[in-house]
Amino acid sequence: MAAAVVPLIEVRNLKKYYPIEVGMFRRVQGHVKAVDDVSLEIFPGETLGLVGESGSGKTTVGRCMLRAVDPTSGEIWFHHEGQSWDLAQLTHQELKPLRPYAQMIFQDPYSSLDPRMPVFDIIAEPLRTHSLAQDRELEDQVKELAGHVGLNIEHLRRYPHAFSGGQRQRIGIARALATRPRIIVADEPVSALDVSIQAQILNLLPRLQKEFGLTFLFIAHDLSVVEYVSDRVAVMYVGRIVETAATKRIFSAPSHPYTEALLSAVPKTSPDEVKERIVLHGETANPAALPTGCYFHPRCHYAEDICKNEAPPWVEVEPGHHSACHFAGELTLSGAYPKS
Amino acid sequence: MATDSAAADLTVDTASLEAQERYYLASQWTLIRQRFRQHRLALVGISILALFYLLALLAEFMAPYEVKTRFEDMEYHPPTRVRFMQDGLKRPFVYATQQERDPYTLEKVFALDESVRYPLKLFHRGDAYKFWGLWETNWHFIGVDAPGRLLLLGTDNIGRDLLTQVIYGSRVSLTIGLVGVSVSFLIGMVLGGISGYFGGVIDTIIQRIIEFLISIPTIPLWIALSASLPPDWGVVKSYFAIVCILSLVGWGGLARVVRGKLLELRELDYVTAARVMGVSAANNIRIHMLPNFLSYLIVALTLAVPGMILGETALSFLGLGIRPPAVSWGVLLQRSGNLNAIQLYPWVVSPVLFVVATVLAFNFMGDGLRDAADPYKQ
Amino acid sequence: MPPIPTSNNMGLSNLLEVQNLKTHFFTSEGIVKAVDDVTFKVAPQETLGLIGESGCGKSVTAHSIMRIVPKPGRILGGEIRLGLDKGVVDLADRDMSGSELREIRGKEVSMVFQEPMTSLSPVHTIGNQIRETIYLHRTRNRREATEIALDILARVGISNPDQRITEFPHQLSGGMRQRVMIAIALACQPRLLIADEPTTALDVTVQAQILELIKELQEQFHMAVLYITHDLGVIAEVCSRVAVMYLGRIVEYGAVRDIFNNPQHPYTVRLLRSIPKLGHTRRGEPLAAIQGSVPSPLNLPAHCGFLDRCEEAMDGSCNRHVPALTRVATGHSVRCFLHSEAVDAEGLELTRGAAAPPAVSQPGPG
Repeated sequence: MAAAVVPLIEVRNLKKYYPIEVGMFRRVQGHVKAVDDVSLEIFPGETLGLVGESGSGKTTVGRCMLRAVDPTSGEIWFHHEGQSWDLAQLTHQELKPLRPYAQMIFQDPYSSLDPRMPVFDIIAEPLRTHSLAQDRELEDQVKELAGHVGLNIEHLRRYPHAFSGGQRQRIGIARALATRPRIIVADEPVSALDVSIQAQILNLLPRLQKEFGLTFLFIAHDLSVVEYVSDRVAVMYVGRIVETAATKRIFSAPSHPYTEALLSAVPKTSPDEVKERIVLHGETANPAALPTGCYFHPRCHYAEDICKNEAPPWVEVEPGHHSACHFAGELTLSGAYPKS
Repeated sequence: MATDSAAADLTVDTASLEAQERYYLASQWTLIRQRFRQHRLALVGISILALFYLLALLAEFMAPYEVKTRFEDMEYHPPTRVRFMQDGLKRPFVYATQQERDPYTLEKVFALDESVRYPLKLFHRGDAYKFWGLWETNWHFIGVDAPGRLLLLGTDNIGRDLLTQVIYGSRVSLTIGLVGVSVSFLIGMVLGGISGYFGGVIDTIIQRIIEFLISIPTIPLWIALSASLPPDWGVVKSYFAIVCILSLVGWGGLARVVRGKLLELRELDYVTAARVMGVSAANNIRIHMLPNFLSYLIVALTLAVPGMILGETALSFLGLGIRPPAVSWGVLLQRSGNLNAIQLYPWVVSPVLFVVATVLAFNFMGDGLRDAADPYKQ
Repeated sequence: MPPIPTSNNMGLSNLLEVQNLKTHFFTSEGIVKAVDDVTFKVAPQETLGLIGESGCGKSVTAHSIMRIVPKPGRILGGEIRLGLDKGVVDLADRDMSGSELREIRGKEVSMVFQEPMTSLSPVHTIGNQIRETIYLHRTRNRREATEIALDILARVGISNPDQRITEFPHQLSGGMRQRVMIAIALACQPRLLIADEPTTALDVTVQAQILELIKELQEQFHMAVLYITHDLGVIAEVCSRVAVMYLGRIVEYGAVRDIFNNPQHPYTVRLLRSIPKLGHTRRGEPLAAIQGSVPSPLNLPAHCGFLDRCEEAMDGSCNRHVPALTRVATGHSVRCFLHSEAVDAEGLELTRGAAAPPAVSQPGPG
């Protein structure tokens, strides 16, 4: 679609393998392929939803992008103001000046805040680390950030244990915003929260996106949440991206059987809804002992011989809509929306 | 947060709100202190230890006599009874005793001389000593005038006051645990830290060394090591030699605690958040990881002290640790280590009670600390 | 005390009737009224959904029915009447002996937990764990018990049960473990299955499998299900009636269609509008979030629990009294002063009419 727009982040052939060590001297005996050859682009100002079940490697992709874990191989290009860096190649020293541009929001509002630090210091930490503000200025900035995320500035001297899950998540968001980043990796930011609190955070994120001009990589397993926040969606299955497209397209006309099954597994939104369910048999493949060919073939309703033997190509089904399936574009798959 | 709407409510009283606000503003150490205070046994433990360490610190003053004082006519004197009654309630006093021979069995016995009372005096002026080796004085916390004798735990085979010996001995016995644990703490912290932070081959090697060390039976190793100490080493030298032996054997466990905790903490989200923020590894450890496992380390250290104390006692008892003329609880036990003596003069084993009390107190305190160490546990 | 047989006087038309159940926790910081005056019924073979956020008391309700409330919790009052062949028993009866309870637990009522790994013993084979329940309630014969176990494993959709029966829980995947848990729960064909968030720890595709399985088995075994969850989608999927819990009380109770299409309590209304719905919620359109968060359950004041977060709270009533659960339509009750002025007091009936005069309630201590 928009070929002229330079992406903010460009991930090329990203791989993250964890060695399986055995015996007294930890001999390496194979690898767990958490992320296996992932490529994706994130454009400025958009929200890319990254969907997958547990063990699909979606969290690892997010963490590699921020170099919270070091990738095994691949390139992570960051384009900013006419300059480009391959984040995968930089040392941690070289990375430091770039850190303010990319931040992270975590899933668990309890383990993501140091319980031994008052909230003020938690939000101020990134500013202090990069010497972005001191004294009065620092205080003003922290208060402003707290206001942005809806925290009471009277309560900044309190410790995290004084706050509920939703408020803690706001503190984590304020910390991520402190350096005015370009991109935020939000790793399941609402899945640990109670239903009534989820909506508060889901309303807050798009508002902040506008106010701060943010780009989001939104990692989640809940498809309704992803549909609500994302411009584009990428679906992962055991370490690989199987499909990407604009949100509307992927939800109305998926081209990968796994996406179809995932969509049909979402529970009904009301008791009156009639839903035809494709129940997948079996469970997600074990990333330490992957099947041959297409990783999804043992569970796929449409699998044929070619799926067992050959890895599927990455094909463009329609502009901006890619799928890793031998039969992409040939199958008629049902989406999440009722046919009208 | 929605206090404005609740303000109308009658049931919200300001006192509980203030208490709540105090809780919200409480730091890690405040919360740990609060939780620790709720642990009864730990409070008992810490009081006992405070008393014992105070005794050790002020040993010359607290002991009724000087450590070298011998009452030559009073070998194996039983504990002196402190009395309160003589024709009505009196201030506490003792009677003097006289050594005599039983005319029939020819055994030595101590006869009471009930004619004169010797009242107990606080801040009594008794044997002269040099306090902390600095200035000369003769003040004692408690004492009686001669020829009365205040022998609260009795005397040993050459007529030395056992309580005085125990108090002086506590200096060695109680400090050896602390010094030993500090040394193993240093080794454990450095090696455990390296092991946990860098991982890989170094980690493997250090872990195998620890496993090897832990698999050696402790007592033979101690014996072998201390038997190799030159017998002509002075008190101070052999004290530190014993400390080194004890901590060389003991650091493995601590190193494992440090390593395990580091590995666990490295994966915590807020540590990752700091890394993504650009906080350097050293600062990340200092700011986020160290305070977190410091409380666990204190627990591990507290629970390691009794092992060291028992180790010293055992070595000295076997004659391989601290050697006379230095006094320690182990040395005192070794002196009494003769079945005949124990049967006839049971008070000579009283140092054992102090060892037991100390070990229990440390364990109680460790228990309390362990329960309080992580006030954020859900 | 032996179970009181109701003989031939009407008995129970419902399988389970929970009446004014109170389960409180006496902690060092104060009293947590985890379950405070909860009343509901489960008819034979129906599925009642118990929905609420964390800390609303839904799990404690289930634990009370199973009589497995952990210390310092205690059932303070109320009745949990269970209709059995031999009559009605009150599970809240504190005098009930351990053997009587065991007779009912696992046989008449059984439970599936959220975390299958921690509910299964890691050191016993799947077969032994299923047989254990069967020995207790059905047969002492090992061969028969094994046959029942194999049958039940096949029915919960475990392929080659002959082999699985000799395996240990860690050899199975999360979904398989949950199937085994269900098999154990169903081994004695209970009348009532309590499912406490059985799919929360599972992936969406596996959750879909388990939900289908529970629905199928319910028909096969003719059992009632008390389904506890925080997920409205799951409720829509499996339940016929729903009880919405908030801070230890049921705030709305009715048929699933009534709750979804015509919710009455402000909490239910907002809750339904606060979740994005696949294919229905527009991007960027703000969700109807509920402000604030659930208040601490410690020492709850005597007013509506939702007061602080409610946009329709009325001064003078909502902040002074606890509203009563009142019928607004056939089979649909709400606990809210917007619908009735009835004030809750001890022992009020579930179906108390809207015309009831406001009883005097205590405006908090002091």
